[in-house]
Amino acid sequence: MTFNFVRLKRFDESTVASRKGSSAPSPPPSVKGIGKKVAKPDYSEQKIVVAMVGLPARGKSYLSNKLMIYLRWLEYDVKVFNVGQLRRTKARQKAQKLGVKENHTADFFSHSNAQATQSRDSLAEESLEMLIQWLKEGGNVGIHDATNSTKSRRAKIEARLAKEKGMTLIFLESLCDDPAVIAANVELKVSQGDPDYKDMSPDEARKDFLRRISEYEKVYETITEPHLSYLRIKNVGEEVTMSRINGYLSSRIAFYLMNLHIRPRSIFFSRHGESQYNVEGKIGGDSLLSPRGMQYAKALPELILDNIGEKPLTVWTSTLKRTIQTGKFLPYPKLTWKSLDELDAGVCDGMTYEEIEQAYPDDYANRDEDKFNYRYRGGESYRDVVVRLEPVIMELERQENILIIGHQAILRCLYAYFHHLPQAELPYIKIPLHTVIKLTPKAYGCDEERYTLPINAVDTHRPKPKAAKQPLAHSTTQRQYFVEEEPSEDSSKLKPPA
Amino acid sequence: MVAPLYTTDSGYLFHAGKILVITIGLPARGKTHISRSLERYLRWMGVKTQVVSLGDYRRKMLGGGKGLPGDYFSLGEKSASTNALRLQILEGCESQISHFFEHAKGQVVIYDANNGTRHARKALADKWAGRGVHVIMLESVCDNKEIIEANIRSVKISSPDYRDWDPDKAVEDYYNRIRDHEKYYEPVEEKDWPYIRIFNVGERIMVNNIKGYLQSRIVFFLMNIHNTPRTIYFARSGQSLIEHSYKADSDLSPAGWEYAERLKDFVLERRAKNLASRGVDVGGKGDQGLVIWTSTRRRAYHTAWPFLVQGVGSHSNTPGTNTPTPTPNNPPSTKVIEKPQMSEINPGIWDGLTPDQARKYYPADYTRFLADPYAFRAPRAESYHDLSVRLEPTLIELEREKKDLLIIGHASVIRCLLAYLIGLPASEIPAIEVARGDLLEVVPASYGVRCRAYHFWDGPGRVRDGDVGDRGGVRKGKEDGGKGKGGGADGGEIHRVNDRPVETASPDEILRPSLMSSVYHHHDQNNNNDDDDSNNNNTSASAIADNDSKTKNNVSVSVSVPRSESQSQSQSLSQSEIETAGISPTSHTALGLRALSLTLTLGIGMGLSGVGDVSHIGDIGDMGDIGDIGDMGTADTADTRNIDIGGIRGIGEQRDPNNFYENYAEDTKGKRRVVSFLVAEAEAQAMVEAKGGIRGGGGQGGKGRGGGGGGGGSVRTREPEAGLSELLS
Repeated sequence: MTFNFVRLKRFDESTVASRKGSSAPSPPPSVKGIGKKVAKPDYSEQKIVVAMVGLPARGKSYLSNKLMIYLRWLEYDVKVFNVGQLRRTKARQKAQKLGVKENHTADFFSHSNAQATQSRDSLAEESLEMLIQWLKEGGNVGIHDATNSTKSRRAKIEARLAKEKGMTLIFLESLCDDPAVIAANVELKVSQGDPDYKDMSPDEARKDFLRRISEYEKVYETITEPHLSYLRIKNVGEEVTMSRINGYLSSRIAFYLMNLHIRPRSIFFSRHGESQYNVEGKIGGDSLLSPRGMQYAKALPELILDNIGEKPLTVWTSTLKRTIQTGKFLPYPKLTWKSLDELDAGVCDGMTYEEIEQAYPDDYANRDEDKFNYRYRGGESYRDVVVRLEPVIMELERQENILIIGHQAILRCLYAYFHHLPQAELPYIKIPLHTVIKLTPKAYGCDEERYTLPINAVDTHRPKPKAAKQPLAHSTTQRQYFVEEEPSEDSSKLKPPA
Repeated sequence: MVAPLYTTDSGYLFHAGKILVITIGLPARGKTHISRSLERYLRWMGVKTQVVSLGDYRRKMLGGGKGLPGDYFSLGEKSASTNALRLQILEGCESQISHFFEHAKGQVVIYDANNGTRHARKALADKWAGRGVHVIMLESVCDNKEIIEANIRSVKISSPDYRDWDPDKAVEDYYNRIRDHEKYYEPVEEKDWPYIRIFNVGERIMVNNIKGYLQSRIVFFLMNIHNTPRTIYFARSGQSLIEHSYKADSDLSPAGWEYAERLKDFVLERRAKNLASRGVDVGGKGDQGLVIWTSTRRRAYHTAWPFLVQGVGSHSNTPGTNTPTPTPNNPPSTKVIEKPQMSEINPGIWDGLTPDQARKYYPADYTRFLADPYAFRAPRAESYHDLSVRLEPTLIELEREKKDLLIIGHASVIRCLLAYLIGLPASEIPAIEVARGDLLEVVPASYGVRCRAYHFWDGPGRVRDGDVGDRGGVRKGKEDGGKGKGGGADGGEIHRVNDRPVETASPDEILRPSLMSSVYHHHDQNNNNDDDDSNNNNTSASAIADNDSKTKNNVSVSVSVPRSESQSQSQSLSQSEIETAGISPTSHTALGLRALSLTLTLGIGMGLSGVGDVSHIGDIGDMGDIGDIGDMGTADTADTRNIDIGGIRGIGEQRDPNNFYENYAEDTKGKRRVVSFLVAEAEAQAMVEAKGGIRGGGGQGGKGRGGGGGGGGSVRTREPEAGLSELLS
């Protein structure tokens, strides 16, 4: 039996002749090699300002951060302009240069303190100006992370943006009346080393912070202005009110925020057990597990049980045999997702890297140069995978404890979403075989634990060749308290705080 | 309708329980448009949804406006008998709602009525909330006079209530009806119930207290709909060098490039005509512009290439970065967007195989595939279900788009998108015919969509042998009396599925049971004239219909597509136009499906002939010619025939064949449409006969489809009901 698809692998040379016959009166440039790079989608017409509204400790920064990660993952250019960061950065500069220490206790936030109020107003305005400037330079979504707690403040923002063409303004109000959530947020603020409370004991800090909140409460006005576009989120995901929201991206933002929740949960990632193709060094395929892979599948239930205990869990697998086989022994409900199938290597499917290098040397080099954007002929690029995983991400945000038994490229993409890693590094993330990665979402990132089972497996990771050894960006659950000195595009949030 | 990602024992999805959506709004505020769109979308998600429309129910029970007492619509004092009548209608609707919730395991009911007073909706909401149903108020507010006027003119006065009225008088009467309502209307301000208020059909939206995934999904959808007039065009990509392989992702063949040029010209021409019919100039006010979506497959985005280079003639630009010079027919806003979600269905390990080979090498899989072509997933392939799920984000963007949209796609993708737009059940998706060389035009309207197909291109790739003029199945078909083998190939064996010739072979095509009897199995009980059709009309069905018993199940369609007299002269095109208004997804009726099939089957087949060197991929290059099917000479190619069979959107309930006629007759608009279809076809027949030019597999009997033909003009004088009843007998 001869299968045509086996022969397909080598069709490249043989189609040279036939492709010559193909011409348009004004043909597009021919594509060299078997694959090609794909360009980023054009979002240049999208200019949105999301202005946060809410009392301190209501999760504004949490929401801004989540939103930024989601939209960046979808390749929008997003940046958070946090007024608190700006204030602290300025104060630090002032302290360093002039030796003046500003008073940033609750007094500073009192609305009866005219001088401080003015100073806070000008900070907020400065931050807004920076945001507008950034949008003009090509950004898509600027998030103005400030309290914006009064009608007059919101009216100012509105008036300022009315002067700009093509910018849409949405207010995003975060309300929270759950004392437990507020208390947790306050605790986070106090314990995470906020420089505002550097010289205070935790008790003092807590007291001062609560006083700051009450200063804001005195003047706080929830959004009632009927002409504003706004989204109001109560207790993160419990209830959402929308008014005058239109536009595709805005509705996307709204839908995303409607699906968020902050109930504690964990997400587990595991690759399938070692497969026959892994052993043979081939990519793609739909092979069964190797004997060692089977061992892993058998050992997996105990590991998961140790971690999750009695809590409910759902297992998601792809439709390929190796993930279904790996999940076979797990006593939990299972769902198979076509969207979780491995990146399609097109004509290179079933080949080893050496074979690809030999058969298509140009393409091989091309791919190494820009792995994220490289699309295999007849297959997919990492970018395509990111697009197809979007509904999975949305579903993951809604769900609670989930174990995903997936594939290397797929888990890289999902992992990059949760840790907010930049595109360029995404295809080189290490997701070894026979390892369970446990992510626990926290306010400003995810905690990660890795459990490697002592079952040997081949290493399928291929480091970026010829590249200088760069430490991969590390995500952090720490909050960022200062504006980056030199904001670097993708990794601005990734470096540990100074 | 995509089956859900998962099912539950209760039949309710997303832990959302039962939901009653109560629409609120003055007349002509787009409530029906919103309700139907929402119904379509939720059904696509697999949620059992039903619109219960008070107006439709009243018309069904009481007939059109003339039969109503004079004080029926005025909200003032009414006579006792009118009140009783109104109450009766109200109760009838409510019993439909409870039936759907309690007996049909329905999850969402959209109650399409005015519900203008706070008192009335509170009573309704209390009643259903008491039975454990989540109630959502959905108010459509519209203060834009243009939208209201357009709505009245396009929808309301053509309703049976205003049959035989002078349009201006009807509009005036309708405004009076609105004014009466306005006196008593109370907008939704009470916060007792979750509400969604939509202003000017999606212009902005206000939401209160919406909870849970399904509800937020509803909101997300409603945020993205609009009723700006626009047209969605669908065309397949041009023929590529290696048609039948997914992985090859090959470039266009020379014929494909030619096709791309023709497509561009034809789309621009059609668009100009469509805009003109709305009184809009190309590029003028009211012209929202055209945007093109393609997949990321080469053959798709290269087919869009002529749109980009128009008026530029530059060779150095790459697709997507080119800014074309504005020309009268090509507004500068033409933009090509490549969407990775729109790639064709992945055939997995069956890539490159013909259905025949697939059956040979994977007999067990193939049997399962035939049993359920929608859900079956070949190893490493995508099922149609997978494809539909993948396309879901695209659907939202499609709803969202305000510009005219040309989707240059693959047959499988077009099938899914059309199925969504028209509201077809999932099982029908794989059987939809989408021919290369036809431009499908979909115009969203209040009750669904209107869908027309224009045939604009005959060339290699449309039919198997690529040389239509000389050796197509046309003549063969004639020799075989229209029921033969559809024109055996000159020098190729005929591949068959189910003992019928295979008519397609692109990777898209391998995953569909072409014209499979099982798909349409439920038909043959009520549609006995099918094989009549297939014998008498020279279309796909007839051309490939063998006389074996299975043919009887094969309803797939019979439309005479008038084509150019001489097919080799491709510039003298004829366009056949078939129109169908949205067909209720539940109308599994003979006519419903027939109508769809009619729309969609304007020719089948595409092939890879004309491509010399495909043999290295396998010996699939030499497939048999199954003949050009459905070809019929027509007299006047310039004349665009308007075959029009739509308007049969149901009132919502499942139509069983027995009461179909009854339901149907109530809808005048629909009746007229079907008639005009018959007339048009009879005309076509007459012309053909006058020319003596019947070629190909059918029509000799002179008996038109559905028994309505009978030769020429006689149909025109026939009572519509007669034609219909014959059609349905």
